[in-house]
Amino acid sequence: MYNLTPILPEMALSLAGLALLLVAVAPSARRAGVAEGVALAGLIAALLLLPLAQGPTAGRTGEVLGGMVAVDGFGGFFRAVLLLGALVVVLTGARYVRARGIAAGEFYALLLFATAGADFMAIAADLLAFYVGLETLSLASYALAGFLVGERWSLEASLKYFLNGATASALLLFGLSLAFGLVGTTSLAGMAAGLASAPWGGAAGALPAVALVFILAGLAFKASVAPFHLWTPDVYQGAPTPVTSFLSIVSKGAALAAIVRVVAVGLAPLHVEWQPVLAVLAAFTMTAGNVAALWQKDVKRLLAYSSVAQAGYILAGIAVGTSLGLEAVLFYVLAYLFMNLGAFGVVMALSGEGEGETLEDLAGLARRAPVLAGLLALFAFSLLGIPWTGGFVGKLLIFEAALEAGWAWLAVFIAVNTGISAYYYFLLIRQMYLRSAPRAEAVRAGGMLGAGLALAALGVLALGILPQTVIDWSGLAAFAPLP
Amino acid sequence: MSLYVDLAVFLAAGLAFPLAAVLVSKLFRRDYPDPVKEIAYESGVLPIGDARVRYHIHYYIFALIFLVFDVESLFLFPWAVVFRDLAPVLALVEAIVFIALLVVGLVYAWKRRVLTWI
Repeated sequence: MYNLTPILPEMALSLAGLALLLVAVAPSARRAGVAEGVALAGLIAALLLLPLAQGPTAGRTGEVLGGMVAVDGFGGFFRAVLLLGALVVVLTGARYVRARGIAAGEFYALLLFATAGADFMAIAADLLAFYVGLETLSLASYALAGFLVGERWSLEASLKYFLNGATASALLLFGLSLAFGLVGTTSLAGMAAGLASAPWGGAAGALPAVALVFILAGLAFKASVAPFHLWTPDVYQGAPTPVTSFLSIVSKGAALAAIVRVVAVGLAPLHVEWQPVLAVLAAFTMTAGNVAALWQKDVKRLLAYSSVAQAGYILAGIAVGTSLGLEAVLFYVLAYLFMNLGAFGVVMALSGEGEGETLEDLAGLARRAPVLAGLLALFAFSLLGIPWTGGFVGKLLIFEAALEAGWAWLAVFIAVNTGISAYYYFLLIRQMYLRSAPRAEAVRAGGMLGAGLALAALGVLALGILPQTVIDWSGLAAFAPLP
Repeated sequence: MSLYVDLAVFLAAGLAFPLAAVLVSKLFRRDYPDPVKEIAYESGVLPIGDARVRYHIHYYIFALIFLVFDVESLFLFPWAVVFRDLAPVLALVEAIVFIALLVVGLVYAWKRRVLTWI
């Protein structure tokens, strides 16, 4: 019998998800409240079970469940990030879900199933486990994007996401099947060994590169890496805001973890090919995201392009291919979790009250809700990379890693892009602090929403002020299979 | 080689049987052509209107739920066949977990009144 301990958190998530399906049809007057409780309980149980699942030695690498799943520091770190992300999404999104009349039981059930799928992408040691995780995440996400029943933009988001995602899955599967055909194994470690030892010559010499291109294209779709990011703004804008927030961190985080697992580990022998490709994609992604964000009038669209650019910074850390780069990636992902979820949380505080989501609606927020405005300013500062925030330290680490590994031009791109992004992040702040408010009533943000925002703000500040503590942790977490 | 002989015999018998049936019925039956016999067969009911009608969206959900249980039995048959070779308690528990997952789905669909014909 297999030892199921390593996947206890995912089992807890699945059980809570099933319970939520029953909550959805149980006769209850306080269904939304019960559903929130079960969802939070499932996520907290998963987080508490995580140390048990990881085992006593955090740094060890071992494959379990017949080689399907890897228990290592990297997977543990990403699982913590994904679970924490989903937790903050539930905390900050609960009021929005209630206010918009979203069917709570089904909504949280799909959210938990999606999170379990994302977890499996982060810990996959085998292409099959990776792909099943990916589809669990994707199928649930397509449905989640269309949860505002009767709103055409939500429906459009769902359909667009589905069509793009299905295309990406097809590309990915084609690439994976080519890779499988070359090495004859679905194990990622086996694939790396097979690719390293096989003498590729003649016409077959091009096949690994072809497989790499298809796999990268598929994963780039999922992580909304330019030029495969075109669905991102439409889906992020149309989907319910908690789902947008979920896609921007859990879905994207899992896709980035998968890029590390599949490309940086499974295709490690091809690093001469994929490093420059990833570097160019990273530079293109941050530039495309930041430049497009300059023109946006809708806050969710603006944050969508901002999150495209953020994926570019993270990708740069993967592209440099050193363990220093990987450490920087882990730190940045953690910082990105807090700052991005925080920013979407503030948007939800407004839109949950039935207010719009355009830049105009933010005007004069500092007078109406000084705390919320201060928090959004903090998250914008962090996304931009102002000192004393987690975003600054993360960007600095990636910058250093790029310079140290000899990718000076990539470092220049990061610096220039930070300059470009300053315009629209400051636009948010100017809107809140220097414009007069069209309405006077205060915006309330207590309860779970307040707790979620406080958690995010605390995370951003802790990572910015005490980065060393976290660097030590992520240094442990980073594994060094990279050449 | 004898396997191929067997195969050839099966093929010949398989072809001969329907041909013989048609031939024999041709010999004994009477022949009364009738326009009613030429109309499309729809379980004995007179077909009305165009064949390309719009189906209710409900069919789609029935099909999905049918598929779930179809695939379930597909998994359970091999499980039952090799049951003796498995660790009996563990295999039983695994199958019960598998079925329980589907039952939750069925309960959900039932309570959502997906199975009620409207």
